Amino acid sequence: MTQMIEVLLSGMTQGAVYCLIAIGLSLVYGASRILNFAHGSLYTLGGYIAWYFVVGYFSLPLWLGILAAIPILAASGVAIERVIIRPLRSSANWKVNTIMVTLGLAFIIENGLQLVFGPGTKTIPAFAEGVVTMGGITLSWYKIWIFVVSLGLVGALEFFLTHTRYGQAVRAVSQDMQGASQVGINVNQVFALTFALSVVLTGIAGILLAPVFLISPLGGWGPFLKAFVIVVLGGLGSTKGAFVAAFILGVLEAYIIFFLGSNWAMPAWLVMLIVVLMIRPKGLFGVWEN
Amino acid sequence: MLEIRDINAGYGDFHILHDVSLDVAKGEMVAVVGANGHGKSTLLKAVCGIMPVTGGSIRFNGEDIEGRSAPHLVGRGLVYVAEDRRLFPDMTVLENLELGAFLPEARKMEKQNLERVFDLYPRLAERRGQLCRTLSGGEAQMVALGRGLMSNPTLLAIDEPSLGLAPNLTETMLRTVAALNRDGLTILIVEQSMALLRGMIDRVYFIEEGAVSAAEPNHVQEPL
Repeated sequence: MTQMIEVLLSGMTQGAVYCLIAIGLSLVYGASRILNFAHGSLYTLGGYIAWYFVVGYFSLPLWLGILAAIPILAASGVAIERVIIRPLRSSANWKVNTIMVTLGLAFIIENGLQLVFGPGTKTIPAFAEGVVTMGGITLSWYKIWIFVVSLGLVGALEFFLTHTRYGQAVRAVSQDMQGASQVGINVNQVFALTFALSVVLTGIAGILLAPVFLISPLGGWGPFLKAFVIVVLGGLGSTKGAFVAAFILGVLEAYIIFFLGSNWAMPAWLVMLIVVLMIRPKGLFGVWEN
Repeated sequence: MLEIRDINAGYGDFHILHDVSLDVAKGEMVAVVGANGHGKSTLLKAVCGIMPVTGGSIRFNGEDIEGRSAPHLVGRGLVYVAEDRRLFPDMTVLENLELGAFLPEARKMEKQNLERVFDLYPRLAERRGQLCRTLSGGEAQMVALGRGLMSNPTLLAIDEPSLGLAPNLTETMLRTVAALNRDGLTILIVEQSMALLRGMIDRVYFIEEGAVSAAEPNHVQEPL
């Protein structure tokens, strides 16, 4: 019994981080209808930036490394939108074009990281050590931290989207772009903002998971594939959907790994995805239509 | 207040407006009337920065505005109310209205303007928490107009407010617009038929195949 609860808690921790990765992908898609295939490589980029600050060159504590990485990640997001995405938007096939171009960007980032940091794996020491035991259930402090930070960031994003005027503007753009521009919202600015937020969130996820998994230049594809499944399951463009789907799949994964082994995790996700899409083609919360 | 000189506009190779000129003076209510597909909406969209102008000039309060984006023009007081409403479907009535006051200029007047909209349409006050996708056509049109007013316009450009409304709702809607005009708001309105606008407007332009001709409203024969 306690083991079952431990698996559940571990699944929820994993779900919280998946949520952090997926919610940015969904946010960008919701606002600008762009599927950013470089999302996974930006997750990796976050890990490397933090490694550079924490281990490689500066020996900062991890929390300070995260803080230092945030402006770099945000600037990368804005730059991607400005330099790569915006010029493509006026072309007729921009949806396919942006997919191809962000896919290319993923390769550039990965190979760039490989060039600068080498092909080997890196790791960052966790900022919390030890375990906590309660009623026979054992949890590592670091996992608790991951859970709290991830959920805190997702909560902050949701608060921003629902309770601030600028967050409302983001939702407005995702629901009706022309309507948004009619009330005076600068749509391009909103796109840039969503890219910045998205890269910051996935980058922080990459940093938080660096002490648990290792950082490697190609390590972003696993998380990207998972984020993609989460976003489609939750409903493209819905941050709420990404939130719910991330926890469902995180917990599902934990139990599958416990009973069947880790090789079965991805097949289980995809079966789940197929079943949900057969019943609800829009995904769990996919209600936004053009 | 608004001076349009020889503007051209269209979608790609499809040329819609041909050298259109039009004036709206402060305090006026001016109508553009024409059949479907003759460029009424295109004209309004081009003026309000929703779609690009390919030639000619537009001046608004002395400023050259052709090529300016819609958000820039909203900040200057030139506000567009779309024929297809363009509401945010998964947001509440109140959120839609609040977003009308997104820019700092309108934000300062948000409280007064919200009161004004709720005075105009008590029904919107009752339904403030309702999602816009669940509203009826008439209510959606109220939100669209109310959101336009929230932007604190000096000139409100309204695109066919009667579209999709029952005749009695259309009449109420147009009376409301006329009342706003009497209170001092300058209005440029587009409609398919003169019939309902009689007695409300100062001047009318007819638009046919993308070209306009000016006319005095009281000396006009109803076009068939």
